[in-house]
Amino acid sequence: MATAPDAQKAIPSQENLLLDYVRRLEKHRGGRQVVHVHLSQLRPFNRREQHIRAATSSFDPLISTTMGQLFALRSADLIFAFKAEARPQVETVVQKVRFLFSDDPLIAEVSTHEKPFATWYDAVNDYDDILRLARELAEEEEVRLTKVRSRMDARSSLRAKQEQGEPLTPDILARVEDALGRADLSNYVRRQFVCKVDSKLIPEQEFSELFISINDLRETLMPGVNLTSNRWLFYHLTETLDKRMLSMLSKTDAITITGEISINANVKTLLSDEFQVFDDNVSASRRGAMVIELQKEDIFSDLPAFLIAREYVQERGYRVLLDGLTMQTMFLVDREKLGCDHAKLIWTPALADSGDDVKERLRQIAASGGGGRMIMCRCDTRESVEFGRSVGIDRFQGRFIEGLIAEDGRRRDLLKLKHRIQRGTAGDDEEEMIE
Amino acid sequence: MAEIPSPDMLEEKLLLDRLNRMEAGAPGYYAVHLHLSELKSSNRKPHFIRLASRNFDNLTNQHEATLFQMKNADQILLCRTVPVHEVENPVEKVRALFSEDQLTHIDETGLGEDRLSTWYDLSENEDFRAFVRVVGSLVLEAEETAKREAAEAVAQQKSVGQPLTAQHLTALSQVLPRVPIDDLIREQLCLHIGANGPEGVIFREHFISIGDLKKRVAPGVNLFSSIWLFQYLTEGLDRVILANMAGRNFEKMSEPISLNLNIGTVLSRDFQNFHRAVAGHEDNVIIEMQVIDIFSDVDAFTIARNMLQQNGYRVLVDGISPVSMQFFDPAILGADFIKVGWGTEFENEEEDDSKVADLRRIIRDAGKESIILSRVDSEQAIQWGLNLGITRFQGFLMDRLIDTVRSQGRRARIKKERAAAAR
Repeated sequence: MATAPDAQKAIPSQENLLLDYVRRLEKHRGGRQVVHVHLSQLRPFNRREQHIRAATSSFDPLISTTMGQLFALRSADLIFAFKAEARPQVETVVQKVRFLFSDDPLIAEVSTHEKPFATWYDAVNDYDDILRLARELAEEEEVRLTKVRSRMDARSSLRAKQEQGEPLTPDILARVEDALGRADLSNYVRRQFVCKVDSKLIPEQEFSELFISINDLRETLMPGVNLTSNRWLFYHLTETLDKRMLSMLSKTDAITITGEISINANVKTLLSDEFQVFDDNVSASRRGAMVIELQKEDIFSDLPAFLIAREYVQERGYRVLLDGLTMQTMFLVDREKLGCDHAKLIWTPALADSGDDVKERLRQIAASGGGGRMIMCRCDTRESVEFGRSVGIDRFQGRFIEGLIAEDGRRRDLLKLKHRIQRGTAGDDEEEMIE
Repeated sequence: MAEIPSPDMLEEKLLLDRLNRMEAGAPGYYAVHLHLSELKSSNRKPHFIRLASRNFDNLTNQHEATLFQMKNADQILLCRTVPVHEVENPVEKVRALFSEDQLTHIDETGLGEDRLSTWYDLSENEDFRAFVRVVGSLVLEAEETAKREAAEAVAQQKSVGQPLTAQHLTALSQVLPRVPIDDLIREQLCLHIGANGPEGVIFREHFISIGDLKKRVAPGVNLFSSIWLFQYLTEGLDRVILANMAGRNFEKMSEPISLNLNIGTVLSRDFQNFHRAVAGHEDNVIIEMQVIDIFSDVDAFTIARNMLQQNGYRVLVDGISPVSMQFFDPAILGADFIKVGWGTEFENEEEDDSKVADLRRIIRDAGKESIILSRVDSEQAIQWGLNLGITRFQGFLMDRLIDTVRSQGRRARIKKERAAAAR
């Protein structure tokens, strides 16, 4: 493994402490009880740091009177082991914690829900269950750590190979690029919309990103190859595809484009003759309807070149989008300072689990420049949109949004049909509404 | 309208011809000289100059105006009865394009002349004559440049080579393991410079000379042409240097060493082997990682940095330029050192007080002990760094400096010994 063994041992995890405690409990089971409070099941918005802190501190009086010991797990779950005589007080505390989250479905649906808010154990009767639980929790934590630690280790790369295909090598890349040179890529062009989404989840299209689908290409050109296995070779491939996209757009008959669009490019490409040809073929009025997406690592690999390229394309009317921000890079890179019109933040569920200060900073960034400049992309769940809206982001892109667009289309069709029926049977009940 | 220059005809000459055909005091004519040759070298790149010229496309299409591209990067616009504001518009766009450059900054006092452009009213005899003289000297300059370039082009073709492709990489990945390149490992010192000169060695960086590597394994290929493919190549080189360094005796090392590695390498088995060889001397090893690598996967960097620091290694972030420091705060990355690359384009930066103050603040916030100015090849670079509060330096000049100091020390020692023997 890449990490030296003592790297993680510095601070034992709560999960490990719990397991240790439960093992020692074996000899002192009498008069002991354990309660497991399932805060991890709460909706992410309720799992805020301050809420978890409030829940944890509710146990403080019991801890200070040495009635019990609390384990606050990484998942946000709480486990409290206590002396049986304190059971009434503990029940009161758990009830209090429950009130903290009373508007959460976990609480609201508790009667019908399979998972209860809290599970109670008796150390004498349920010791095996307690031990199993502690073991499972410790193992889960270990797995999580190993996953982080060994992302590059031989075992995981072997697993990746079996699951995701052969790694991309220069040799394969050379063959793929050769094949690309001869292929008609217009069939692989896809578009994905960036939409403004309101509280009722009604999408309003802003622009659509045009790209060549690497996944579809992979199916035809290089089945069984894991294209993302080497970052640098993958970037090179995408650069090649972005250039092809540009040349397709330069020939107006290759693909038809309507509405506002965005394309991916490299700083180097914007300074190249290929871009000049593209630019010559774009009417001045269309440039205002075009967004150029640039990756953050590309921008920072030659910042002076970026500054000039950005100034140039913006001058000609294009808008510039800073692409590929993650939770971590979000705070490293300042869209406004870089002079980009938009920025894209990649959605991951970890965002919803991040602390309150992260959310507050996100809220500030989302509001900067008058708001509406931040786009959350790769949104594949409803949660992503809900989270985005909770921090002031209202532009979204991703599979979930494509679903909303389709749904919206169906809804509109239905509405149209309904109007037609109404017109046909004028005078009938007009109160009836579909929505 | 615009003439079409024959390939071997210099635009400078075409312009001079036009002027010669004009009678002195040509009514309605005026010229605008854009002094792009005075841009910082990093802004004077051909593709940037081309972008600048495109701002005049509309003007030359719609009016009686011609743009002449000088060989030294200057641009001259020759206009006849074009409203001045029509010309001002694209000139201001060029100014905005290079807004980071001193050349385009407007003198707020209104007393100084605009450094970016000079305007000549060719209907005035005095202006006309002055302009002809300027163009005349541009012709001479261009002819010499053209001659030199022709000679250099041949040499360059040979030395730079064709762009690196995936095919080349395939061939290289087969060749690299078989060709010994350990002898291409070079060293460069990073020194602490105090008020009285060098005060100690911070570390000695070990790296594979790409120039020499190219000569040995890929003489006809420009290894730097694709930044992504170059990064891939360095992953292979990491393995070579790690294996080499693992064979050294860390116990006997008198100075700390530094290695520039990919994040992927730090998290790989190759690094574990190296770690075993270091065995307890981690505090003598500094691992450098590139900013482009860090930005493309901050998560992986964080894991690598924590792992290194927890084990006693020190971490250095490389590939930062003074410009990029103005756009993100490198201190956030939590590294022990930050390496800032010097370039001659920063020579005149001190003219801009607000920028200097900015940089000084960033350096202070990051901790000046952690900032290293690299690629130091002139006294001027050291001065520039010292002026900003930097005291750690790396570059050819440092290696020469330490040689001088050491030979002086040796001479002084010999002198002392001789004096003692004579007594």
